[in-house]
Amino acid sequence: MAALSLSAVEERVRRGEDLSRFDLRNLNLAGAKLAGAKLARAELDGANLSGANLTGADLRGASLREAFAPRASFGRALLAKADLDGARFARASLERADLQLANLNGANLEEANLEEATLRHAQLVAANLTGARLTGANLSRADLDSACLAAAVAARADLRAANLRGAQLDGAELSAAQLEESVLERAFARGAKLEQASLRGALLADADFRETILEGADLRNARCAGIRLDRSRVLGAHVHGLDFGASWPSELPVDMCDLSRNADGSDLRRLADLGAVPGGAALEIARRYVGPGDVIRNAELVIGERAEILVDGRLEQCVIQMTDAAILVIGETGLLEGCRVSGGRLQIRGQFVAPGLVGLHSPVELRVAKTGVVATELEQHLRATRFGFESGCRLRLQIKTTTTPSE
Amino acid sequence: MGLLTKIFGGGDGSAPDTERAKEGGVNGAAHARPALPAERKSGPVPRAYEPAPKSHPAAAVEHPRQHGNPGAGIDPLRRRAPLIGAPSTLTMQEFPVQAGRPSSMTLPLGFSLDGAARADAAQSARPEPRPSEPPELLPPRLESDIVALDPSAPRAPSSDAPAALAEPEPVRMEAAQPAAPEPLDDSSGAETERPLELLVDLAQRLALGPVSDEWLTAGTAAAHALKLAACGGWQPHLLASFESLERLLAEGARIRALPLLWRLSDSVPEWPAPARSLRDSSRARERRIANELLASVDGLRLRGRQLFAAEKTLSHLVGSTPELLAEELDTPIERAQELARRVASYEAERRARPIDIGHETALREAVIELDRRQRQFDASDESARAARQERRDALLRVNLVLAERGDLALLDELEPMAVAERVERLSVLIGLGVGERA
Repeated sequence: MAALSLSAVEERVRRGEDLSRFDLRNLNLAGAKLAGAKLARAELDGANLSGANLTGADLRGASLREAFAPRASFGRALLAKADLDGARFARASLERADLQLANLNGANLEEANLEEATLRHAQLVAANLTGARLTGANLSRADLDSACLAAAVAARADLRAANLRGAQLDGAELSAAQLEESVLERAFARGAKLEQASLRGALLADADFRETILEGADLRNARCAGIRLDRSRVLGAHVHGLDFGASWPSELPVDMCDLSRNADGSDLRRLADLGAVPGGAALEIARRYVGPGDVIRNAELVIGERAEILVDGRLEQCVIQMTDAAILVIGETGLLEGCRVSGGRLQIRGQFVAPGLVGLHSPVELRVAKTGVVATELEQHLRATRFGFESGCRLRLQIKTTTTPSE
Repeated sequence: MGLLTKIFGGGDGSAPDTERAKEGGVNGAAHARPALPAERKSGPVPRAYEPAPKSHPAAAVEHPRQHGNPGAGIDPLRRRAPLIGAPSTLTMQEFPVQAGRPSSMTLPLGFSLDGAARADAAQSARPEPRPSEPPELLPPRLESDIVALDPSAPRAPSSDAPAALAEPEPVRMEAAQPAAPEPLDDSSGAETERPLELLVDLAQRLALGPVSDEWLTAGTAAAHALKLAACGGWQPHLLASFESLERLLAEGARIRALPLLWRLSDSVPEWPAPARSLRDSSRARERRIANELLASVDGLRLRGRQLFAAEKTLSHLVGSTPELLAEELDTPIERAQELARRVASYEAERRARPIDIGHETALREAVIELDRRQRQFDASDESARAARQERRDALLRVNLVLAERGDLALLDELEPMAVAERVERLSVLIGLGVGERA
């Protein structure tokens, strides 16, 4: 297929022609007016698109490897599954663009406007997003390994389950961003603003969070072994279940944090007190976590002394043996179905459903929050089980006394 | 080879370009036809400061992106001749225009920089021997030498003949050269055969910072050669300057030598015009180098980088501590340390550069390395992160060499291109064959 000139491409676009699968590689399209162009699966590798207008263009599955497009306009463009490896989009406008599953590895998106853009499952390994505007962008499950988001503005961005391992987030604005279950291992987030952000269940091992603002952030169940928190601000942060692993940070902030599991501000303490409360991950407590979406079936789990298992996922037909000091916490999204639990202390905010069988055998303690649902039979502990039922919880519980062999 | 051939270099006796001579050769002098980039396999890399004429044949060379892609639209690279593809010797057509000097005043020894003899100028401008001067240091009489060395060569046209009608066949440069002085030592070797070219290059390098002892030694030898030439009547008023320069370079006094080189760049008529105004051109090169180094570290804000490069000198960047860089660039100390490490690495490499006039070898090696890294990147599987970084480093090296050379327009030209395309483009420009790259 013969390559086209800039004017020919513009003319075809103006006439509304379909340029899908066209070969436009290495073409100089600087400043081209290509708004609304139909370029699905077109080849634009190495093309010069600097200052071009591709607003609303259909570039789904197109190849733009190493394309040069600084200051180009891709607002509302469809770039799903496009290959933008090594592309240069500095100061480009990609507002509300659809970049789902796009390959942006090594791309330069310096100071690009990606507000409200969709980048779900996008590959952004080693991409340069310095100073990029990502407010309201959807980056859930995106791979941002070693990416640079220094000074990026990503307030309210959705980064759930995103991979930010080794990413640079220093000075980034991440207020109210959703980072649940994201991986921030070895991330460099010095001076980042994360107030009201949700980092629940995130992996923050060996991350550098010095001088970060984490006020009001949700850090529940975050795994933070080796994290650095020097001079960070954590006032009002929700830190129930925060796990510092074997080595606590040398310098901990002294702000008052919320240690309550419900994140309702009912248990305000300093971060240093985290190890002294049941909800906190003390040094000697071994914790296991079943995250949302995780499913364990037909397993036999043994939870040792002072261990704790947090379930936000789903356990089916499992047998769980616990010591009296061990803790089983079923989170709001957690579900135990057809399981048999022996011993331990149970806190149920989610659902425990095992009708018609003895699902709970001799627990030391059973506490059901207002969101909790329990439908099973319970055999009490030898020294009588302690119960706590919060108003609003739903119970279909048959409580029995313990049947000892001697009886 | 005569002394002034060694001074000006480039007297390779290449075939003349008849058409160009007819188009307006100065005083009937013919001009050496610049080699087409595609024709050049391993010839010397033309200097960055040599402008290509509008009718430069290189402008007509088909760009690789046109291959197999006919009618591929407007190729910006075809609109202009490549800087790097220009000939290695200035022509009389270009020189006076850029230098703003009449040619007869700048070339008193009767030849143009492309090697063509100018009998009228030589005869009129040839200095009379001073009583103290040994006669062998003076330039020879032009006509007799031409006849003696190349009897078959046609005579130079008479001074009243129209330039367009002049005989295009040039006289070989050697014919008009006095004997070269002995080099100061063996280490400077072949480089002293082109002392002015070496001095121009050294001046450009010194303006960016300290250079290796090897360069200083060669510069000293070049200054010595030019001093002897001045003794022999070539620009005698610059004798003291060359003497001082020789002394300062021998002492390694870079800072004190620089003003002298700035003066010489404006005073020596044969100093290539684009390489004059050394102070200004050096500042532009510094800015570009600083920009390239700053951009090599992700996370530095664009505005901050631009301001830093515009306001600070390269020596400031080289001499800054990570703490100072962190403060000036408003970045965490960790990133500033990374930047400082890169800058130090570059500076050490630059200072250790061997004598390589025009960065020919350095550019060739950098392009070969970039090509190799590009191939590795293309061949790498999903774990291409390391290969990507290595390719980026190789690209930085190429850009730095080009910036040092002063090929700033070429850098701008290359910027929109993909890496593979850059390699192709540079390979054509420097005459690098596919076999060599492989």
